[in-house]
Amino acid sequence: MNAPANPNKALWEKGDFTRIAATMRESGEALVGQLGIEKGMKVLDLGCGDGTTALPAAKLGADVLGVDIAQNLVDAGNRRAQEMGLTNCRFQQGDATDLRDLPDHSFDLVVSIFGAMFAPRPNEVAKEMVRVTRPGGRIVMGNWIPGDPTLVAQILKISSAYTPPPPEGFVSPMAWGMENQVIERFTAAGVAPEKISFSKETFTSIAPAHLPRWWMISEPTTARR
Amino acid sequence: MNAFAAAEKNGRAAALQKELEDLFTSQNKSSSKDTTSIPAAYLRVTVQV
Repeated sequence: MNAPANPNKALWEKGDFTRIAATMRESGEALVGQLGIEKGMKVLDLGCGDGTTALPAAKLGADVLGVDIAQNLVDAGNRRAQEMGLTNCRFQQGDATDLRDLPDHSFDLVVSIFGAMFAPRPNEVAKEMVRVTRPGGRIVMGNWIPGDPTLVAQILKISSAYTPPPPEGFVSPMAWGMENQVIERFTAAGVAPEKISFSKETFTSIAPAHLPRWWMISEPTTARR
Repeated sequence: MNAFAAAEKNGRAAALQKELEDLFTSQNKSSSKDTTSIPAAYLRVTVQV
């Protein structure tokens, strides 16, 4: 039986997320620089968008596959890789809850920065990330924090006051920003709790002064809680 | 449904826009009027497999 369709596909393809991603390049590159990426390392970037972290990883010499639910972002990522002359980075459409095209234990590092957190069925996401990571490898996620006073959590808080209540059983993507939830999901996927660690970091969006208006128009997450 | 689409249905789009614009203004840390620079906190998770 096929897995249920991921409802996020249409949502992410509707907005033009590349304009928001363009404001995140500096922080994306800085983050990747902290991950100990070496030449030849096999890296999966899940929920990669147009390559904010995938392309810097490839520039460090990793062999990178970017996977995203939105075909328009996959196309944008492949265009950017071509423009940069990076032959060691490719992007393909895929669903973080069902990576059936990717073999077990095939990546040294699985990265998902504000990506897989938005996929439905978080337990399946954790399971798939663990499955495709080789023993001894790492998973690194960046997840927005619910209730935080900084930008993204506040956008979601404001937006939620204008949208209808979510359907029964809805699991907020922001739960990925709660340590107890993360531990629960990865331990259910077979990881020992002591193998999971956390730190609070900062990601800065930098843009021309007109950022606010087009952020609001483009940001698909204004629909989420 | 996107928040703007929902707000438009209820005639509250202008209120949503104002709230978000106020938020961006209050969070902007740039010292230049030509640039917007907004930090946001996130949880970094590292899992050793």
